Amino acid sequence: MEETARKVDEERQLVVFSLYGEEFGLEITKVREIVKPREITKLPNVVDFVEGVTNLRGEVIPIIDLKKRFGVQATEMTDDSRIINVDISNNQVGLVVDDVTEVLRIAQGDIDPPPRTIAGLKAEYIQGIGKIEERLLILLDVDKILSSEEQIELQAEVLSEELAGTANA
Amino acid sequence: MDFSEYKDVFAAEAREYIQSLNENLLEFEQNPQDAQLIAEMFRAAHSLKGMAGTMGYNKLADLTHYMENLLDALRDGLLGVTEELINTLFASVDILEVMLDEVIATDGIVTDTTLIKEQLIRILDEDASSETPKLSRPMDLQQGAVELPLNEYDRELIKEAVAKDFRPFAVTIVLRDDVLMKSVRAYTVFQALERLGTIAKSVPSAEDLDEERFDDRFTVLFFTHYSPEEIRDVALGVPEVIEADVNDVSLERTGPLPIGEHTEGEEDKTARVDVSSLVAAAAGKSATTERAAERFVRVETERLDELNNLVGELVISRTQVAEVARHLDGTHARAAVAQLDRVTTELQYAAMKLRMVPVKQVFDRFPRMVRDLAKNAAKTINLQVVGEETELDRSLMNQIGDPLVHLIRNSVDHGLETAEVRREQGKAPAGNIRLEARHEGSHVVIEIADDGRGIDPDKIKQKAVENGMITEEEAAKLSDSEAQALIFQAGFSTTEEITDVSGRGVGMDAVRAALDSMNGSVEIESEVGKGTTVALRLPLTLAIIRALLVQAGRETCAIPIQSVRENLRVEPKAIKTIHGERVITLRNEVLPILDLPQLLGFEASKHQGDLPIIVVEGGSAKAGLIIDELLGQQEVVIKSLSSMLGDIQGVAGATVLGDGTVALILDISAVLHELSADHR
Repeated sequence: MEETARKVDEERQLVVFSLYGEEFGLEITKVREIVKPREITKLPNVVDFVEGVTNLRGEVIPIIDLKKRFGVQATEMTDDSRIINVDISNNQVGLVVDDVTEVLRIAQGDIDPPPRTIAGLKAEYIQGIGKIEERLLILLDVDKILSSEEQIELQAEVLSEELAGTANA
Repeated sequence: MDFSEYKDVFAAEAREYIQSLNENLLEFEQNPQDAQLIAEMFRAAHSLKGMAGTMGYNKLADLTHYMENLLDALRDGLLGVTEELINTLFASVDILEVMLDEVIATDGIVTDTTLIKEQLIRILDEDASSETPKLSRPMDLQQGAVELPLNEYDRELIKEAVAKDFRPFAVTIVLRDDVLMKSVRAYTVFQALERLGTIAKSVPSAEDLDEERFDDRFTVLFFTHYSPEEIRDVALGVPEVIEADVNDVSLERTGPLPIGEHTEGEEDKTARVDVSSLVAAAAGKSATTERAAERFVRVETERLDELNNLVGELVISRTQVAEVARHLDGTHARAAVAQLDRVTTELQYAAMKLRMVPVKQVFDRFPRMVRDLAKNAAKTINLQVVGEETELDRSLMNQIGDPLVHLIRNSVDHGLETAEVRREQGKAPAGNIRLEARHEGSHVVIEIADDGRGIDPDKIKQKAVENGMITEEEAAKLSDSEAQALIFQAGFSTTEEITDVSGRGVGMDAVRAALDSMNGSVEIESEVGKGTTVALRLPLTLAIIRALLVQAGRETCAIPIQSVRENLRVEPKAIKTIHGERVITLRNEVLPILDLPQLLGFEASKHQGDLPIIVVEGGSAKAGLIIDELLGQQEVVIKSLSSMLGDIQGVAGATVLGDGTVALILDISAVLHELSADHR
């Protein structure tokens, strides 16, 4: 496993954001920019977590509501809401999150391998759990969350059900 | 080894060589005495071999080597031209193409070339037995060996250098394959070498080295007074350099020889660079290609797309600026905006022209295809190609190939009769197909015409009735051309006998669907006994279209103007319900009415008073769409939706409006798809 092979003293830089009260971390190299919510054009015939598309510097990019992706009850966007524009295999995708709180460094040694499920998320979407004093950060693997269109289109229904089930439990 | 950056270039060039082999073979079949053609084929095979060897595609290089042997023997008059020989060469070219496709798709070659190589060797042995066959084993092509091609200019330089007592060397530097910042290493090597002499040339070019467009090695032409050992020591003194091969460059030596592995202590027996054969190849090409090279630049399509995107954005910004300027007073502002407007329009036009490529790129494969199909069908067919210089948008070019292949196959297979039948009917025994491209206004028309048996409207009607597509009464009312147009309907096929080529797979309905998706159209004209002409009408470019902007729910949608028939305001009471579906009667035509916002999954439109309705047509369906509001007509720049989203039913793309918001461009055929399925 690549993750465990990393040197313990290696540092990783993470963008930290919150989603339904949990704290998540995203590898900073995956993040292109963070923008405020903007006009989103809805799309017909797409799964519910695809919010639509928006114009970011002339590019039309899809917007994913992460809460809906994880099968959690979606809420209206607030002033704190942000769109994190991430690079997924050379495609830009905007992720809607509740708030972006900080960018921090974490030593590889402070990251534990993921448990089987956590906060209703399947462990395969999680790179690990970061511990910073009292706080626990869920390190998301964006490539795996939206790795292919099939995954978005086909497994969406199933996953949402599964995730909803575990989240409630 | 990571050659991936070069792979695209290799693929493009290899494709050209294969195409030229194909073309020359076709001509050679007609004029077997033409030595020029053999020479050209030999050069193509030779260049291909060199490139493939450099890239490490040894199987490809290997096969071209055997072809080269055969062509060499042909050139020297050791072989007679037989049909078998020509067919074997055709087959070899086909296999080259298959291997190239494999290389592009997977980087590996699984095709088995044993049989074709045996065949090539057999022909060479049998026929050339009178003289000693010049069958050499393929040289051991080294992975990634870099050749140093020399042009006339380089040769002059070498002569001058030698006259001044410099020794010319080809120095090949190999860097550690995991080296970071290769360009810096290359620069350091250049600096080190230039302390000993002069670098006249480098392969890849200094610019490519600078931008790291090379793998782990490069070769320089180097003039110096120092010895090969000293050069090597200096080069190896640069960190990360693991090999430095120093070879004499000579202008006299003949015969192919790559820059060899050079073991230490053997400097004096320096392997000589294959100069003359490369020069010969270069010189042969220089008359034609080098002159062309001055006028053309090979640019990655990605860069062109980027430019077009930026121009698209500029067009949008211009609209924004124009909007702002309307609120400004003063002629200065207005004049400046007018100027901006003019320049932007010209720039847009110029950028669009960059995307245009001649249809020759697609047409080129047809002579060969028709030859093979005709052979299979035991027919004699002349193919006439007209207007292959006509230009078309590159993205359209990629999509037009399949429909054309299908139409040409139809002509060969169903349109044209056998020689006997043609004689009986008083026609010339050889059938004719004309493939023509030309401009017509803002469209490009591609026509495929044959002088075959034509399409019998009565047979079409009969078949359509049998298939339950229309009733007897309806059939009786159809005009001949209406009947012939039926073949574009889904699921229609008139062939009773399914042949190898076109009796199966896509039919004319697929051709039509392809044209629809390109915002084009297809028409057919046919006369029994005289022949059939199919005309494909394509827009010049796809990137910018005129569209009707409408409000649907909270979103703005763009409907391509080609799909719009008219716009109406209809009293609510004019809408009737038939079988639970809403319709209106428009000039004696019953038109289904759909609510656009609802179709797109938004809230159904609410109107008090008259309903705004856009009548649209796409695929084979026509309908009225209720919209919330008609916003106007304008040019929009098409942006594709992210590939992460896949295909979205009913949406052709998106565009950014003057206010920065995104509008969806609707694909009317897809929006109406279910409707057309129901009604047909």
